[in-house]
Amino acid sequence: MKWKRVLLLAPLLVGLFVVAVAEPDPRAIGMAIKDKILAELKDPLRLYDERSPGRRGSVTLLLKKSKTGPRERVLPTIREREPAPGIPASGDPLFAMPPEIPSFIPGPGDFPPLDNPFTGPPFFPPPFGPPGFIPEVPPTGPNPPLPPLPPLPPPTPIPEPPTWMMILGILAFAAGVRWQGRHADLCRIR
Amino acid sequence: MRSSILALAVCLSCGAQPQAAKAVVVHAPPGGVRIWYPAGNYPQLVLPDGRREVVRSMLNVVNPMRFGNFVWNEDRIPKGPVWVRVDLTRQLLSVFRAGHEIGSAVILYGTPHKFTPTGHFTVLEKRKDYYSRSYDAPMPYMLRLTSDGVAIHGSNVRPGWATHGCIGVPLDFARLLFAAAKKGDAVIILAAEPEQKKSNVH
Repeated sequence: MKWKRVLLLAPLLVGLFVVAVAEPDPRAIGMAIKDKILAELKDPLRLYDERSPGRRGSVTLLLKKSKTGPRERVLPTIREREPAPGIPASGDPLFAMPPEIPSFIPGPGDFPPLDNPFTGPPFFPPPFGPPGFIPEVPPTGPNPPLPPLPPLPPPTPIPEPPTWMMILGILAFAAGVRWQGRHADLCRIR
Repeated sequence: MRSSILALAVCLSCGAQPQAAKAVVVHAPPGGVRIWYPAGNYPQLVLPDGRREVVRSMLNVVNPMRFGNFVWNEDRIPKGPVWVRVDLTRQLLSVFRAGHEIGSAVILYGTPHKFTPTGHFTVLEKRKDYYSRSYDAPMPYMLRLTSDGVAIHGSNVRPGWATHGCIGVPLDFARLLFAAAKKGDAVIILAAEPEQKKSNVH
């Protein structure tokens, strides 16, 4: 029985003996592991380099930070084009005299000849009734008296009953909604 | 004989390796949230005035961060002094508490003509809903750094944009930073370095 225990422990003991012979200082194993871990650890600046998006290049100011004061929009480039005809190129651009209209000199074809102003077939108006007929209007007497107007109905109360019913319905609906909301709040609190 | 072998085994198994494993706790790569530095081997960040800040742990961000994104994790981080590191070269802002980094984000900063001042600052004022009359713009979760209006505040962080001197951070990150920082906390703004300059870690 004792020999069996020794045989079971033999590989472990042999391994420990080999390790002890190879590394006489037992703390050397721990120091080696520690140095290895320290070598694997990165210093903070190296970590910053890894997480950094890089150095900044050309940038633009944030547009939302605009100085207070009068704001004006300026075109990025100067546009140059020919001035409109009749408007002087220099001077006050907000006001300009209209172009001078040349005097009208009629030409030979601007007006029809006065002796024959109309062209085409002659126009004759259609006849209108027999000539000389004038209908006679019978004489009229005094107007008959108008029948008396029926009496006006008595004025209805304002608001009218349907309006009252509508108002009461709205109030009842609002009360119901309010009660339901309060009931829901109480349920939620609980 | 037996006792000597057992003593050797106990020495080898318990004396060396567990001690190292207890000192060096690495929860980080590849998928961990945080990189813990071993006690006694804390790295230090050199500040512009020559002081050094000990870094006990860093957030593990493997890939480059995008504009508008940020990381924030303060699990298992004790309470302690808060300071903010703004790196204009890397366009990054980091928040440290008790030596542990709890947040980091990509920032916007000023142009060469409207530059962001560098150096050591403190939080002079905190305003949750601040509206700048000078620039006619909202600056939510504002942490004022200078009397002339330079502050850290929530902004629309997009690539290719810059500020008039303030430090813009994503709005959600600004809310977290606003809650973490208090009046008087230190803010270190590092100037943009030339590309050939060496790192200043020790």
